[in-house]
Amino acid sequence: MSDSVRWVVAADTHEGFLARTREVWQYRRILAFFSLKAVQSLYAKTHLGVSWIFIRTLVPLFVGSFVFGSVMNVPSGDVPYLLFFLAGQIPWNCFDGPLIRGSRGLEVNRMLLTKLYVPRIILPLGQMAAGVVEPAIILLVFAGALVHYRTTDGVWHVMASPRLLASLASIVVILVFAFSLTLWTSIWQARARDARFALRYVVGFWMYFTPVIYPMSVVPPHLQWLMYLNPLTAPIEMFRWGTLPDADNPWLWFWYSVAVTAAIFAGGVWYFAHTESTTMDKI
Amino acid sequence: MNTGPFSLPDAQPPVPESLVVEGLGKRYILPSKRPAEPPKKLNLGVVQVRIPRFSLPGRGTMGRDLWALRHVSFAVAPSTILGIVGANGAGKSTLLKIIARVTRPTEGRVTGIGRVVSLLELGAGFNPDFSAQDNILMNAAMHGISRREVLDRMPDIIRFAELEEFLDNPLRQYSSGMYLRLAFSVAINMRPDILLADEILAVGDIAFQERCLQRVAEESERGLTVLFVSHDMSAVSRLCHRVIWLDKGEVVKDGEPEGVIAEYEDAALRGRSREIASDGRVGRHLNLVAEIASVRLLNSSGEEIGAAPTTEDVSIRIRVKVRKPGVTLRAFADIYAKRVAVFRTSQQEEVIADRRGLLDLLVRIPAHLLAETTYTVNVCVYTVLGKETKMVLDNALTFMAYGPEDAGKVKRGVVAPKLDWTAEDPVKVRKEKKRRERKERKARQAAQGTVV
Repeated sequence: MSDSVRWVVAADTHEGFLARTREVWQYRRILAFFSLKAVQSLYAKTHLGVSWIFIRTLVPLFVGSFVFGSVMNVPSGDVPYLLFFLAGQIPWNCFDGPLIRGSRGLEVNRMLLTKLYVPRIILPLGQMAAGVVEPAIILLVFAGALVHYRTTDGVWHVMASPRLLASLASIVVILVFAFSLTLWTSIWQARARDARFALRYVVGFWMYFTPVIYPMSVVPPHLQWLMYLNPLTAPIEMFRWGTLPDADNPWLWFWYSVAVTAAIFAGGVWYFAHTESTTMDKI
Repeated sequence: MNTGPFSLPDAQPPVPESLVVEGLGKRYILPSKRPAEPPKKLNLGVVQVRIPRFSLPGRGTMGRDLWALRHVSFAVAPSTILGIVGANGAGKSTLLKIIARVTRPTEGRVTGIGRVVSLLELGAGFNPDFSAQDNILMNAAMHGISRREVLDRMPDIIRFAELEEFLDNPLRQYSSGMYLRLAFSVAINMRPDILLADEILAVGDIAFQERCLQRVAEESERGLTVLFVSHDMSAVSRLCHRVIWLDKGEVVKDGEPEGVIAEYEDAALRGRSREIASDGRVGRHLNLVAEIASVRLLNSSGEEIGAAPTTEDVSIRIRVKVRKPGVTLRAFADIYAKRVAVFRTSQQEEVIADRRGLLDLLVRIPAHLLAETTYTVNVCVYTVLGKETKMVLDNALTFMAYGPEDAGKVKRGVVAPKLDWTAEDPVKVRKEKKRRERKERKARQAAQGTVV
């Protein structure tokens, strides 16, 4: 009738990485549906509807920039603190949102997973896509703030230069890093709810050990290497270097972050592939 | 190179079977009530923290094994509609889930040719917030089918589901019948080579069920292989070319529908429901204070029987093993036939078990109530000892009711109560009524006269 391909389901077959990637490609269109569903779930059954996405993204931004910039006077070099703060929030939210959402990918779709076969990795990926909405909104706010400071200060704080590519690269690294962790955490969450609570805690503390709301210059020089051991530090600094003037370029540590990401990714692919089918029985 | 009898396992079999199942087994590990060793505690002075045990993937088996499926082998030729029957928990759904790749077998393998489309549960793969059109696209994507292929089929899908007017409504607003029509229509129009259907056709109205079965039969002539799980024996015998009877995860019988169904029903109707107490399975049929030990059908002299004569009183006996004296018991029995809840009967007054041991709760079903059909009984017993808990045993008993040979009978409905029928002449009735009224009036007047 149709594609008369012979297939085998057995206890001991593990398709190779390439075959599985091809399979994900074949099912790629589900991704859009799951992302849409995940975005809708952000404001489902609310009166304010889509506005909620903006409210929950924007309010912490203004509160945060007011408290840290105006009240605590956190130094931000030559640029206004708001820009500095936003330039940290964009990459951080590329990590936080996708990781938290992606980790729930298997758990929230368990009804589907126990009834229908789809490559399971698509579900965390689809959830992750919903997490990209918030940094995108922050990016818009960032653009708005740039225009604002152009009219008040008379300068563009961000120059259109090849440096922006470095920012882009750091976003890619952060997203891949979040995905690599999701390969582990989504399995854990499907198996035990403890993982969800633990993850919220860990990510909450993680932000304080990452230069999101403060610059690296406030960290004592002899402790900076410790900060850079955190694989998120270098990409966030790299993002700032790409967008804002007079930031440092931590390229060596950036490659360290890339290596850590690659290792966690490789381990995650192995872990996910070896546990997904047994997880389906415990979900 | 290797063409001898010991060829590679992947070599094509001489007859291209559509689906080959070889030595399939699926083991679930039930978390045991008592872990093998007490969990390690981390003493923090004030509190003790339990250290969770970590196990590497594929290792660590805590708890007891339950083989949902074991040593199952069969091959299905193209164009076959294969029925799978068996009691609840026999492994039918597990088998379909393995073929649908939802769960991985513990041992054995399944080899198939072509596209598998599964209808394991109504609404799986649909999003209630999307329109029908979007859902069709999504469902197709979930089966890995290209967008162009679906768009080509869209008119067919919509026509068969009869949903032309509701295309833009979100699925949330659909009735379950509409849901089913959409789900089935999408599945069958995906041009599957193998269709897996788990009891799903039971939801729709009769007309649509017929249309589905018709369509399945048509498609099977074109080469579609269907695995059809159902408890509806009439549908199975009408539709299927072959039937497999599964029990406790193993194939009991595999062959012509008539023979297998007859044997399966026979076994089910013998009234000997599963031996509950002996197999030691921990379920909801017991709690700390009591346990449902057995559920049996008795005749009027108290003997265990397998089938109920409709002309005699019969009783259902729920034998409860009381563990704690002083417990208050109250039982319900729900009687089902043809998947319809016929009635619930509940014990009027609670009984208090004053000692440990067995206690029989009996409910008498009067003669001339049951119809000539198969009944299933679900039993529920509430126990109160301090707090209320309930024990439930679904499908505790299955039995058939039979009438006298000579009765000219129409086997219809789920009860056949013996009701009073009379015949009368309307003219006579009216006259009689008038005469009575006249008499009463006279009597009244006479009574008033004497008073005045």
